[in-house]
Amino acid sequence: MTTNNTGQQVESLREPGGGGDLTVKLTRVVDLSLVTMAGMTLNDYLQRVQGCFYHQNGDGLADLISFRDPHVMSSRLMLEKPERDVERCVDPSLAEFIAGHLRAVWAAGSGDCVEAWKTQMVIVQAVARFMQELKEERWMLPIMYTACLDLRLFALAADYELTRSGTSKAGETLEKSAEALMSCFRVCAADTRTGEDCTKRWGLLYLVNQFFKIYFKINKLNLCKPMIRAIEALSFKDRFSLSQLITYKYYTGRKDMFDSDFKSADSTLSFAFQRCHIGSRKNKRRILIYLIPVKMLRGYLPKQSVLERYNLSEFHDVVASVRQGNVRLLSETLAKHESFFIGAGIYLILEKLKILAFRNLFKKVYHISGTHQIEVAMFLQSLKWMCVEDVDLDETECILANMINDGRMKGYISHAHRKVVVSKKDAFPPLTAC
Amino acid sequence: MFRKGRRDGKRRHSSTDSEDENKGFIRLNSKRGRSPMNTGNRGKGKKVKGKNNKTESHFYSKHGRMSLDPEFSTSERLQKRAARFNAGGVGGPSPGPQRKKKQLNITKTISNTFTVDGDDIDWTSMHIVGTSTAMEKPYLRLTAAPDPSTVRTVDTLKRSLECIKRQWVRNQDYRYACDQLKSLRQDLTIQGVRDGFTVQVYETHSRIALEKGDHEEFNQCQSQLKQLYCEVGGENTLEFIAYRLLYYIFTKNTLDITSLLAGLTMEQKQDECIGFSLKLRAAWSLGNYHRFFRLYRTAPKMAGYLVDWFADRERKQALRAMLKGYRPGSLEVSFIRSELALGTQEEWQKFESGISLVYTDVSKTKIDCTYGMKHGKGDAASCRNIPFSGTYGMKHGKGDAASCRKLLLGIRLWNNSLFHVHPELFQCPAVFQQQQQFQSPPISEAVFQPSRRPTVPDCSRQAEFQSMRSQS
Repeated sequence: MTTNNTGQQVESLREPGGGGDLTVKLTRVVDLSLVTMAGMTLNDYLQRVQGCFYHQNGDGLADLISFRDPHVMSSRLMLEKPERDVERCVDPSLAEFIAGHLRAVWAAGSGDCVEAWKTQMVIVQAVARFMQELKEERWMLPIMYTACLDLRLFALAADYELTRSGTSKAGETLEKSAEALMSCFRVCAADTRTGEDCTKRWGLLYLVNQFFKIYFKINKLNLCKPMIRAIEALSFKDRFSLSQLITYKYYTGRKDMFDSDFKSADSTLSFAFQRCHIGSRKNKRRILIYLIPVKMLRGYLPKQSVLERYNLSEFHDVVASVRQGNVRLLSETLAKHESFFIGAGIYLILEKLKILAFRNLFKKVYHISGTHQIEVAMFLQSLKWMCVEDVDLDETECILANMINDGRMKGYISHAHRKVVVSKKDAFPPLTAC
Repeated sequence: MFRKGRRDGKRRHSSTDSEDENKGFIRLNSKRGRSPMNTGNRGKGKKVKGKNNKTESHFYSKHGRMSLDPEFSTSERLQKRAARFNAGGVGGPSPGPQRKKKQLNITKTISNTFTVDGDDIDWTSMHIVGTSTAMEKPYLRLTAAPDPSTVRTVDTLKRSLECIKRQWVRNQDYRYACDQLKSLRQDLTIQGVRDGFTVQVYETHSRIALEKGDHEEFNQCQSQLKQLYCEVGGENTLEFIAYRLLYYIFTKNTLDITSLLAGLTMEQKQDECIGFSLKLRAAWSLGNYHRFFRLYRTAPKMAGYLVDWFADRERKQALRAMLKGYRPGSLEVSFIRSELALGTQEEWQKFESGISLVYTDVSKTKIDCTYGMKHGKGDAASCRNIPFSGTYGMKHGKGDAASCRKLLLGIRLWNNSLFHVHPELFQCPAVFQQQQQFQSPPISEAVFQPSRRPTVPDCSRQAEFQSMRSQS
């Protein structure tokens, strides 16, 4: 969910893993002047472009090359070879990407997303060159944002199309798009000599977010590292707009999660969740999908009300089973919602919650037994009751040894006597302490 | 692209060394619409077609000898690449008229940006057909189009594969087999052959690399296999999916594990190998060493070899947990050995030599859990100072091999139980002789049928494989 440059709420239709329908995307903009814009003539368009350029109106110019603006519906702007006309009316530095945009409108209008993507690649590179020519200015950054966003969106559609027809491997168009985005990245990153208020480095975070989206889609998280380093090196990294910061934190939090750095993931994702606008329900839900497992591993279980509000019923049984120590229910739930969890990439982390479930189960056994010296056979019995297959005394001891090793239980096992001796005070330290 | 490859395959089989045949090829190429050169060079644009008119196809010109196509390594190709960067890169502000020329044709800019990569040599567009019938051929990295007389025909390659397999069973010479297989793979790649035979070659190489513990080579082969299975299919797809999952466990690559799990169907999960890998993964992720090593003992086909690669790592972790869990107190070595699947004496000794454990008694049947586990060769105490009394077991140090010999022999003969012997001491002939009794039986043909390995694994040869690769 993003606000485009004129303040309209525009939904990003890119669900993880889905290819999108180009025409659906085009019709989603809610704007009162839809009808008039949809009939815009070429001259009118070019005049507006020239006007924005003259007044250094970055946002206006960005709208004029954006596919979320209703002007793309105008059939008079769907021109396959608009170079001549554009050159006549518009400043030479803009001509290439304006002409490119019109060609892209033509391609999109005829439904050819691959051609639209290829054209957009040329546009992005032209925008990079345009930016490089204008030193010590950053009014044109919105143009870069729009061009890069459109490139990524077209790349997703083209990737879907090309993979379906077998012409190329999945993710190839995205990789190539990442290379094109690199050209913009280099222009922005290299702008180190100018003052803070007019440096192009303000555009870096938006670009890095686009890179994250691509790399997460093609599963190449290791390529994110140099991006993160580049952002962390900026002196004004905390003064970017909140929306960009939240997106950044969301992705770096997810990356930390994959690197098993749960402490850092917790703080990053919590920041993103708390600062995310209350109305962006979908985004908050996406953050929660990753925040909940991380928090649970650290010992904090979410309330039922939270799960209901954000429509995350899949987690309900997971939470209940961990709380009760119900290992069987946990296994069943993981199997039941396997596709959802695997799709989000959290299946492996949720599996680790089994250890917490064991801990809670064994804590109950300890309370039931009432003594500090508990037979291993009692634990075994509880595991059998939980329908853990094929478990014997040795395996029970193994689970217990791991628990002691992790600090979730204080005590020791006597192999010869097949007993567990737990500490008299605080045999099961609270989960949040680890 | 691959259909084209197969069609060419038929033509290829009728090729001989004679010039006339090659001229026949040239004739075919001159047919504009159907020439593989032309269709392959779709993206390269007008220039190549122009060249075609002058000197026919480059590769079959000059009496069938393939002369190095100048376009490949030099000026024109470089220029094209440069042009791509100019069109796609961030050039400086250009003067008006030149900009106008570029501006004139966005379509052209697009086609320039999307030409075939300058770096990867597109083998399928060249359609080199081999003519050599040499059974053996050393591997040489190629940087440019090769001479067809050095590339072997597919028939030769098939016979060569059988020959390599026989040699492997007889000699166990990994260096030789790897080298031959790499050149076999190269000949197949050059000729664009991607069929059941290619799958067989890669599977054979994977199995050999698996057995010898060459991680990198195995990874290369299995990633190629993954693609080949998508294109061509094969009988052993499920087996190799299982190996891939185990490899991801070895590299601790959770992302790829997730994507692999995402791609598995219900039927695939029922397969013996894949089912085994899934159970192993579940045990591994929870640190359940008991179940992990129990499964390890019953690994199907060649999965055992792969698990060998990370078995020691898991053992060390498991032992750490055990020492902490049973502390204070002691643990029978026999229990540890059964938990960690260290069945034979040799395996236990090998494992133990990498860490220093403290025993409760001289006969070393119990380990004292009060003391944690240390890695490495222990302290510098020489072998001369062996404390027979006391609660501390023997730690190794470098010592003096010669003077240790007598002592060790004496101890060894007296007490035939667990013992960590410094590898250097194996230089001693008497000690070495003792070790001979633990030697493994020779490997049979069975290695090419997926089966459980008979030998003790040796995973410590990565440096050797690295040097092999860097030399080729």
